[in-house]
Amino acid sequence: MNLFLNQLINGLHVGSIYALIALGYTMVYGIVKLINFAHGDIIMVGAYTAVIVLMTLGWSAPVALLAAVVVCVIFGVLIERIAYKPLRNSPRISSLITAIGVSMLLQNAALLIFGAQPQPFPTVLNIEPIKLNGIQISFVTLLTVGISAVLMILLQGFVIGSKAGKAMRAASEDYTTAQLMGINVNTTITLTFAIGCALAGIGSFLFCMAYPAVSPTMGSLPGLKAFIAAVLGGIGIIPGAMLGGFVMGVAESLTKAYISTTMSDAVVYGILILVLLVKPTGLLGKTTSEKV
Amino acid sequence: MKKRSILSMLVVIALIISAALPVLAEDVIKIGGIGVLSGKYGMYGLAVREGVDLYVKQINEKGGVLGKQVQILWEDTQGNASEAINAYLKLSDMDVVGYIGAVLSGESKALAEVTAEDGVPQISPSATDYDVTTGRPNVFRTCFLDPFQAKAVAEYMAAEGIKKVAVLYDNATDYSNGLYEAFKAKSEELGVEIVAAEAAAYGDTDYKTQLTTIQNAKPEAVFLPYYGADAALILAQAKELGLDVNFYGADGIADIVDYVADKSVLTKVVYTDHFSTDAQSEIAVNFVKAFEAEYGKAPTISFSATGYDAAVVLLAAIEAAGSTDAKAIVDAIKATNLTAVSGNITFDDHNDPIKSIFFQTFDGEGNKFFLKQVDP
Amino acid sequence: MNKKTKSLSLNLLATLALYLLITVLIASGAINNYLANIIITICITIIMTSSLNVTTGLLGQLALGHAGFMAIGAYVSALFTKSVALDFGLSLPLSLLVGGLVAALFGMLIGIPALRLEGDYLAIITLGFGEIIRVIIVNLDITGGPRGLTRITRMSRAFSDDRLLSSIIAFTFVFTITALIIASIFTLGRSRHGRAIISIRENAIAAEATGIPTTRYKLLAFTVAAFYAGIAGGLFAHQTSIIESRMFDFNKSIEYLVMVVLGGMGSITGSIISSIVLVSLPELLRGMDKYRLIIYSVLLIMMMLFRPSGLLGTREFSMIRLWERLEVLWKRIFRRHEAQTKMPFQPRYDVWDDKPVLETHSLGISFGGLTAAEKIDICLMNDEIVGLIGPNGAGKTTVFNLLTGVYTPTEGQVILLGNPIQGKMTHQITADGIARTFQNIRLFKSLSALDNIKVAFHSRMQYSPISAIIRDAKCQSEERGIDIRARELLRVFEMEAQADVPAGSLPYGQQRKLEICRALASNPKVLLLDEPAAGMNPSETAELMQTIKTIRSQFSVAILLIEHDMKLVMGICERIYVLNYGRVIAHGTPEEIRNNKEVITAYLGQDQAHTEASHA
Repeated sequence: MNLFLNQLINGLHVGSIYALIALGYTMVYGIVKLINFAHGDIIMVGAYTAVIVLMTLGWSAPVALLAAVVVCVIFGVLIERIAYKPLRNSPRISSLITAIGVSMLLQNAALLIFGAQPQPFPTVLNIEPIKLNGIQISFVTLLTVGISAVLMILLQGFVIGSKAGKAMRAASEDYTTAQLMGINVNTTITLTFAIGCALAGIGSFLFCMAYPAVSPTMGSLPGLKAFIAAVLGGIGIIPGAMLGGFVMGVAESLTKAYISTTMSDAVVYGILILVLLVKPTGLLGKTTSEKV
Repeated sequence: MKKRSILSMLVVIALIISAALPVLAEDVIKIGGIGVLSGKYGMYGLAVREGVDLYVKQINEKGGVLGKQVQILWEDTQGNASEAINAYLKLSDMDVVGYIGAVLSGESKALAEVTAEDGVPQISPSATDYDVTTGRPNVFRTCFLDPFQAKAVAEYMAAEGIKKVAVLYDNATDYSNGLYEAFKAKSEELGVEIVAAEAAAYGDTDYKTQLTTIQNAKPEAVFLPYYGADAALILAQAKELGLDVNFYGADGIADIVDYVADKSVLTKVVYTDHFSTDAQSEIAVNFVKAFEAEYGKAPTISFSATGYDAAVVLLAAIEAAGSTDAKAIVDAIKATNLTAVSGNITFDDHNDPIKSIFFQTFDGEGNKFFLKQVDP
Repeated sequence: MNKKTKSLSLNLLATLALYLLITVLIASGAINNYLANIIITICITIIMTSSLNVTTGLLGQLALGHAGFMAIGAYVSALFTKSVALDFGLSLPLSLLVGGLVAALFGMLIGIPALRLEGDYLAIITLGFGEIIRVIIVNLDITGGPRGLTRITRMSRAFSDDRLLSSIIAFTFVFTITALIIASIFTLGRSRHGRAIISIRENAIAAEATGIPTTRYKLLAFTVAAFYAGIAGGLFAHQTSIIESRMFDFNKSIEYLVMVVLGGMGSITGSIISSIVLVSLPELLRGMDKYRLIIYSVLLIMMMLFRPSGLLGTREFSMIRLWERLEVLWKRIFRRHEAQTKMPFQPRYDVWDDKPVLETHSLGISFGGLTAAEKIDICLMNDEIVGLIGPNGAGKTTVFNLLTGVYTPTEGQVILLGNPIQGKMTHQITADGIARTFQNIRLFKSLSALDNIKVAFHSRMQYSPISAIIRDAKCQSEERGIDIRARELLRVFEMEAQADVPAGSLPYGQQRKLEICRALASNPKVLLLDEPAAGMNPSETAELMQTIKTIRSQFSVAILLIEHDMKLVMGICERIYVLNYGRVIAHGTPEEIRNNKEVITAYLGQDQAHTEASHA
């Protein structure tokens, strides 16, 4: 039982990181209907930023976190403006390919600048794991799950309550109409990318605390998993991304622990396929069919 | 029909390139160096290259081989099997007489496939997988083998009085998988119980689930047949979970020092190496000295030493054969008996060297230090 | 000799010339082993990209797991040649066939559940399946697990003891297969099956409504693509001699996808060009390895920004246009000598004078408790023009959707020519004799007007995908037949001049006409027109009224039309049904409807109806 709880906690830890990244995917998808493949690489950008601030400049962890968030936001907004905006009315697949191109560019630029070898991420918090009745929770896990939960609640509040949030929701319904209602769609889309990337920045820091290796391709796998989490939960839906992230994390962890460590990816994809077959728009997705 | 005209254009470009190639001088002996020189595992190939280049430079200063200068042509495989074949096909049209490579086991097998077709000599400085030389009379290596080092680790653990051990391995790489299989067989024989054997998938970053299972099984030590970069991640997560035991690795883990920020965790790592910079033999001391003079750093990745040795063996064989005939060189390599940097080298029936293993660990600053030498 | 033989032989000649050129260069040593190997890589890449183009370009579904099929082909084919003791010259082709078939089987197995989904979701599923295939391969013993399969016979050395000869045979073999595959994709793409696949890309709903069994064709496209990818995988295995599951991961799929997109989705020649360029470029740029991928990704982004449809868009290169020009020329000269032209058979309906051609009995549907239509009783006699009117949201289009099987009725019956048809698929109902147009025009925009109509002839042709690939007599005679019929149909609507214009660039009025024309091509007994006059000015509407009358007299169909333009409805309809809140509230002649109180109330509201009635 304790082992089960420990594994569940491991799953929640990974899951909360997936969820943070998935939010970026889902928000962007909700408005521009673009699978932003470069989103995973934003994590890499944030991670390198943090490493430089911590190791080269020798500044403190909060500064590094802030720097990571700021640089991620700048990158995200620039990418949107340069690469995605001109394609807003092109076939969807063109912007998808562009996103793949941006992803390749970021990875290879990092490869050129930093080399292929992973760089170690310094230990920021050196606190012993907390033990409770044979269940043990590492401090990093606690922190990660906590921060993610708080951020998601804040985000949901922002989207529901604030004016900018309402604009985002309106734009995601139909951005041509939103424009007619006096909403500046460009600003709204930029804001969406900025928020998504800020979350990715925080996510990158939390990711590095758990997995202290920073490399040019570090973002692609968690990016892909997070994206799948977003689809699983119902892409475009914020609570869906959170749910999807946690489901993925826990499923992965429990599969590794009780079914097969090596087949865990297959099981995770299997779950995704099953869910989509039963509920084609994801766990929380609404069924929409094209009007004839 | 533009598609055809483009293809023919390509052919013309290819023609120009191939015409430009034979400009190279006639009076040299060319050897090929093939291996991963870029990407995640690039530093292994680069270490090999530094060792090989050093010996080629030394022998050219002494007048070369068969009275000719030696030229080495390097090709990067990016760790990719089909690139290794491409590299061979490219070099084989340039009068290359022998090959050093490849670096990783997978690409070495691919390279062996094509060198065997032509029967040209190939010496890998670092492919530790058993199958690389199987049924390949022309393929040799200057490193010890995975089964051998895995057995040595099991024996080392048994000697340390360890009774319960866990294994975390990557079942998607033949290196990790092969080490695990050999380790399992030997530890069963020695009565060391494997209380948990957890596999991870290639490219994983999260090992906490496996480590939690391992922790739950309460082992006295963990065997980690991993390369350094992955091992560093595993150690960090083990620390986070409070899994406080010694970790044993094989030769691949040697570069872990580059991937950890907090070097103190390394004091828990024991691993097998092909060479130790603390080695006392005259040739080894001279090698370390020459290497430091040439590159301004110590040969910390031992593949520099085995690479150097591969060059020594290949060029000595060419000298002994008295010609650049492939068959003659292969026979001469087979008859090798010399003292090289990483120990004595003679080849057995399977074209493997019979060599010593160096157990090493790290101090709190990440410097390697020598623990024990195990002779075959 | 028929019209296509000549252009075919032209293609054949060009291919042969290319083949001879490369062979001579290999034989003379100008192309060394290294370059010969790269040429083989190019061929394999071409097979991969052009087959991926079948799903992504022609069918229009993004597939992210194509390398998975390649992996299956590679492993199956390698295991085959390793375990079967046959001469290599025999076992290799056999192994490719087996590998391709197993991959095709997987393509089909994956396709069946996956095709319930569309767009991004389908893309994710294909990604998932691709990864699952890879993970399973790592975990199987027969595939060598993580070690992969080694010591697979390398074809460039195995065909003969002589190195050069073997290399030439290997090249010949790979080249021939590549050429055959490309030719087959072309011939398939330009047949009724190809049109069916493309029509799904253009507009899946309209495709179904014009009689295309869309699910079957999606499956066909997936299976064909997987089959070819399997063959490419088999070739790859026998080129490299060692295969590991890692070689076929997600990144590999993406690599091929990028090539397809750069070449232009839907353009096979585009795929060929981009395969050649993107395989040879890295080899040429070997010295600048570090910058290669950066340049590559910047190029990719630039390409999308400035030419988002890829190098060639959906067009094929000039040889094809040349081919078409030749066709026209050839037709002009040789038409009268053509021995066989099989016309699609003429209207096959019995005269159905005294009984209704279409009737519904208390038809209804509810969506999760919400009743959208109920107790609909409609009947249409032969050659009758009937109107279906009602306020917005009354359920008119819902009725159309029920009749055509877009929605499955939850109650009641639809009887067409005496047979119940409720519960059938849309494309079956279309084949049975109900055709429709859409409120918002749904043409296959990038197809020509002529091809739009040809798609609708689909269900009246019989030739199989195989005869499409080999272009046998059956395929050719049927194709010629529908070409004539389709042009005839355009002539009736005075649109022959626009036959080759892409439907999307026709003016609005003509698009409406073309849609009606396409509906008629499926030879319906009942034609449903959904707001045909929407967006038309009075003179266009007048013309439309004339057209509808012409249709009735020339094509002998019963017409049910939804329309808001009362002038049109009252002008041409013999009877009218009025719908409100999903029920028929009135029916009768235009005169009766005009004076029906309930109708006036429905349209104008309670109070006003009163006043109007008292005025009247």
